[in-house]
Amino acid sequence: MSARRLRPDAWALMAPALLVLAAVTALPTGYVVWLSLNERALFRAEDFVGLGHYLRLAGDARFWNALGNTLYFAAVSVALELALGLAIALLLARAGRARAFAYGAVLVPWAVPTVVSARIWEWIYNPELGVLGYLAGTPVNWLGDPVLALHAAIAMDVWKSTPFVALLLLAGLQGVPRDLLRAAAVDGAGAWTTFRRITLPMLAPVILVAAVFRTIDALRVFDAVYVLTGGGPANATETLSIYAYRVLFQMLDFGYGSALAVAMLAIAGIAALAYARLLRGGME
Amino acid sequence: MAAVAFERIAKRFGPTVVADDLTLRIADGEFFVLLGPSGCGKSTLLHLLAGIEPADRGVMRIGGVDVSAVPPQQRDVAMVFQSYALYPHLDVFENLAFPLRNRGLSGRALRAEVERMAGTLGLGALLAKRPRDLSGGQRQRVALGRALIRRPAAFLMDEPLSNLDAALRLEIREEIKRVHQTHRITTLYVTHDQEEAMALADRIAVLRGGSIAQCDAPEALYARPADTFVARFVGTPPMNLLPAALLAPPEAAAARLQGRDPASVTLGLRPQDLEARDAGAAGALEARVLLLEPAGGFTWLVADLAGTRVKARRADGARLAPGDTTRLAFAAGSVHLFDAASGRRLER
Repeated sequence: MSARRLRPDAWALMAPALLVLAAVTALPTGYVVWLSLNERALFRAEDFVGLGHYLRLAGDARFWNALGNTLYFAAVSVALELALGLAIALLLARAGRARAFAYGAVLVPWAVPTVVSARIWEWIYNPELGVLGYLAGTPVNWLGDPVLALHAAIAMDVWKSTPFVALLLLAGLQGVPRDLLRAAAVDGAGAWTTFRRITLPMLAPVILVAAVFRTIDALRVFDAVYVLTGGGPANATETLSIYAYRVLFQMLDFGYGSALAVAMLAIAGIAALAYARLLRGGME
Repeated sequence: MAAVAFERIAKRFGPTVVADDLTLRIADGEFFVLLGPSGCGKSTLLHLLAGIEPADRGVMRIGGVDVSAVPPQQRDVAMVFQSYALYPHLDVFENLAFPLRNRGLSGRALRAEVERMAGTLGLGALLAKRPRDLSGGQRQRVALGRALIRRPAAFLMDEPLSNLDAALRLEIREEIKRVHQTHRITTLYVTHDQEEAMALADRIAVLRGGSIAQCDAPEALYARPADTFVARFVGTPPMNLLPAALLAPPEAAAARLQGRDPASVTLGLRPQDLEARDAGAAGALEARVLLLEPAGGFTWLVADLAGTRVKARRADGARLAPGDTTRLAFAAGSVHLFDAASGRRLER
């Protein structure tokens, strides 16, 4: 097909974009991979160690802890965001006249910068002064308890990111032809059957897209958790990105830190590939 | 199967009046067509009866039972949408099975029903296909099948042929008529195409601005249109409407104005009833030929009659060309008379 054949000057036309991409993405990524194969710290000579850092990674309990935290954080927050986002989208789709106001109200948490909302939630969680403790009736050290702290961070992420999911799904819902829902009603399908057999399958591609965005975001979560808990208590909320940040910029161990970063990249890549496969299957 | 009735229905969308005190009674097993120009709210009447749109006022009955407050799921009507509204993620089998599954049918009984319906409509080989892999005519058949499969009390069709090309439209039209003759399900059919309406209907209601201009059998609608709106809307080409004052006394006598003031009367003459003859003919209306439209076996002719554009049939053997003068002749019995002010039909 002629459309497939590139014009002779196509590469020249694409060159600026390719150069920018190479400069800001390919080069740094390649450099990080290279760094991860070297023993490298500030003011010290470089020393090629091959896969040495990756072997160290395999035996690093703190890495496995951070990986566990990250996966748990991503799985729980994305699941909750999709469920809540879908519920809100279904409500908003029926909002009628109040819709514009509802849109705005729902979007507020998404519009607040993460660091600011983390600070807000820090106060909400404050054991002595926080509103949550007040509502619970007894002071609870939400951020000091190893189990509660990670869930506190998840709650904040859900609060912040659900609007994004809701808005995306709302757009998807509006793409479901009205006649299909009418036909389903006339064909005798009740609200639940219509939702399960018509709306949900029609919405599946959009749900998947929302899941991709949120999963990849959640896998590299940094500011939300770092501002809220700093990774504590006792590394109970330390995610991969926080661990990598500490190794890279606090311990200044660029070699091992880069290996951590590459591991993160690989995990995000695997997640993206899995979703891409699902998406292709769904489109078919 | 059941009789259907709209009783004093009112419905408006903002300033648009869809129905204003509208009453219609459709007999059990009747093929009833709602005919009207695009955007006059015909489809909304179907939506009201199906229950997917609430009426502002009035009562709807199916089989004598007031269903105004019954949800669509329990009204036992089936509908074919203009867009077909096939479920795109389900294959043909599941599309056909959908209404049955909602009624709790499954397993072998379900399969038998779906296969029987697919066989009737020639869809047997397509059961595993998705709607987007089907042609327009096949989609239409699936939509018909999905509506028919559960033997509804009433069958609603919203311009089901408008997305098909001309040849397929005739084919599916016959299919619809055949299906109705076989099953005798009360059918409400919406269209803006008068030819389609005439071909299918037992009775037609012509709608205008939320009320019924006329409700009659196709032949009666054509033979005795109640007003100039119906007269122009039913029949192709549309009826010529002329001021009666154009007629010289002999023709006026022929048209049986019977002493009415010609200025208060509009004449209606179907192009089929108006014969354009050569200039020499006597005792007829004189007009100037504007253009000719060959229609195969005969030729339509558009002429200017004292500033009014009229359409007529060229008389056999007449040699008329654009610019020529012609004489238009008609039989006295073919004239329709309307009140010039109200447009209502005048009886002779």
